[in-house]
Amino acid sequence: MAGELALEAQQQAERQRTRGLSPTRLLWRALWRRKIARVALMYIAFFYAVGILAPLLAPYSYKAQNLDNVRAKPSWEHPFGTDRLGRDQLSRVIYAARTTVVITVITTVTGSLLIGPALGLVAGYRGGWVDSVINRVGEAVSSVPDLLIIILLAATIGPRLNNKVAEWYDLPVVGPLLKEGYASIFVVYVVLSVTSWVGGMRLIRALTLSVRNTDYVLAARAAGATTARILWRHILPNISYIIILGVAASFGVVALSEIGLSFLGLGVRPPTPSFGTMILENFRARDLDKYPHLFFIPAFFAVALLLSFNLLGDALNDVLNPRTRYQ
Amino acid sequence: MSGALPFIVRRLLAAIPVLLVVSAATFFLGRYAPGDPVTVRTGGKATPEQVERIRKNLGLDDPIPVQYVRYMAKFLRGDLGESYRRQGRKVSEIIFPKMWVSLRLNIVPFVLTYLIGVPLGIYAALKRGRWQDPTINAVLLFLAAVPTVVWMPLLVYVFVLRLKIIPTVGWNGFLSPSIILPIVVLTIGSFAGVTRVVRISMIQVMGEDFIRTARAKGLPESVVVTRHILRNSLLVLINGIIGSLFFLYTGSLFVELGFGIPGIGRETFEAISGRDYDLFMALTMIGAISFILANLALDIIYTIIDPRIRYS
Repeated sequence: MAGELALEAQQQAERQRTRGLSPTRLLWRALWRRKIARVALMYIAFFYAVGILAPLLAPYSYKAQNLDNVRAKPSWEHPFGTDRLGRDQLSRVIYAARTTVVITVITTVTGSLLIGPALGLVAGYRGGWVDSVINRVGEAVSSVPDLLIIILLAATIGPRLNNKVAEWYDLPVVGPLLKEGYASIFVVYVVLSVTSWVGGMRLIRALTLSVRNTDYVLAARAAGATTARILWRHILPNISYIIILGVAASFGVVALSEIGLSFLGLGVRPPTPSFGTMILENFRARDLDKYPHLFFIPAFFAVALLLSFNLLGDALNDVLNPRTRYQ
Repeated sequence: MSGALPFIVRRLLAAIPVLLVVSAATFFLGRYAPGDPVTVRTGGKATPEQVERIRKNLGLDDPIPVQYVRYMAKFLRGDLGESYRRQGRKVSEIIFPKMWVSLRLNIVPFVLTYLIGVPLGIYAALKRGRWQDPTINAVLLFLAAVPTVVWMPLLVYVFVLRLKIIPTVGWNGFLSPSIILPIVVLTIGSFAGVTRVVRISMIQVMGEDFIRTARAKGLPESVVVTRHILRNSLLVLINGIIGSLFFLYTGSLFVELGFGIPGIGRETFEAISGRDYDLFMALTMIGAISFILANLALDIIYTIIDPRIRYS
């Protein structure tokens, strides 16, 4: 019992200190206090910085081949060795990070930040047939494993999209980017977005339902506010930190899906590097036996990222559900 | 129990639109895919007239909605069509042996997932606040972070290439050393989730008032744990089963491809990338139907076991 009293006093003090801070600020503070979460955040920041600065950091081009020096062991010239076409493995790992960065950011922004919450808000606030249609589609998407949908889409609309994108090669600015291999990244992005909105939609829908009939929303409606205004100004700010959580959770999922898809040969196309294709290329027992570093080095960086996302998600859970905490 | 039957019927009816959406989406996507099934079928060696005749025979010239209705009519009668790539072979002839392989591959990981996951989750919850709980959690987080496509080469490297304990990989039947690694890979990925679900549910139940009451009235701790906590917290496992099934389906696709096992996951992948329309339609439909039915069955079991839920 003494323990419980102490806990209560502690919580009282905590409330005093944090009065007036937004939920988002509080979340950050609680996260930063955890050592493991801090390490995870730091690795994620490092990984994303490497991805964004890839052209500056990579010592060589990711596609410059040197057939006289294939599958080299790590050396001063090539710290991670060279791959089966003599391309510098370090540069390829750096550019693979870039691929992961681009795909996770654009997919998460679209699926978890825009489509999911938007549909959830509308479904929860409007109700009626809009709600049932959105829910029915969500149910259909979630009734089969994501991977099945992703493979189906990547194999069917993937090639068509790739051809379509090829027509845009002459456009200014975008054209050269697409030529560089971003076309297949775009395809992966579209495919992953189809499955990534359902979770966010459900969560936001439930939250919207719970605040729809609160006094302040009713007051706003009585004052003549339009639906859009109520959603944007009154409901959204109150549930925004949940959207942030959803975004954080989906980064890891998207990164993992991209690796899986590229491993199956349906994702990012060569020569654009991706951790999935790098694993696939060095996967066979014969190659693994002779050139283990070609598999283990990229795998290490990819796993460290996925682990960091897991640890971060775990810490977030810990902060939000104190009852199941590990202390 | 009087309300159970109408509830089941209602749930079954509600599954129909979902099935229609899934089947229509699969069908239209398949037809939208580039590449021509006739070319696949003939290997590109047929004359234009032959191609024309085959297209007519297969009904590929009709509008796509007509093809869809015709397909569904056949599907409902149990006719799954023919494979385009392997001429003249019925889809059902191809997929049922593969399903049998996948079933045998997945049954052990499925059992192990619960055999390891449930006791470990209970143990972690009971050791809450001591070093065991966070340690178990850390190990699980690590195991879950490594994707299947990394586990496979990693384990092959250690056990096949370096330690040479396991001779080969591949499919040599259910009782052969080469099934060990696939089982390990599939189990590692899925038992972590079960452990966490059990742990969280246990801890939530342990905080309820009725547990405090049970302790207060002097029940021995073992009775409180087994009769009051366990019974209430293991209910969540019923919902967790569908998650493990999803996981095993996904995992076994990679494992079958990675280890060269002729199962349903590999067949699905090859059918989709080989534009074998009828084959992948059948595989997707059977997959979707199984998952929808599994969901439904678990819902019903849950409702019957948990008296707090009413049929509405």
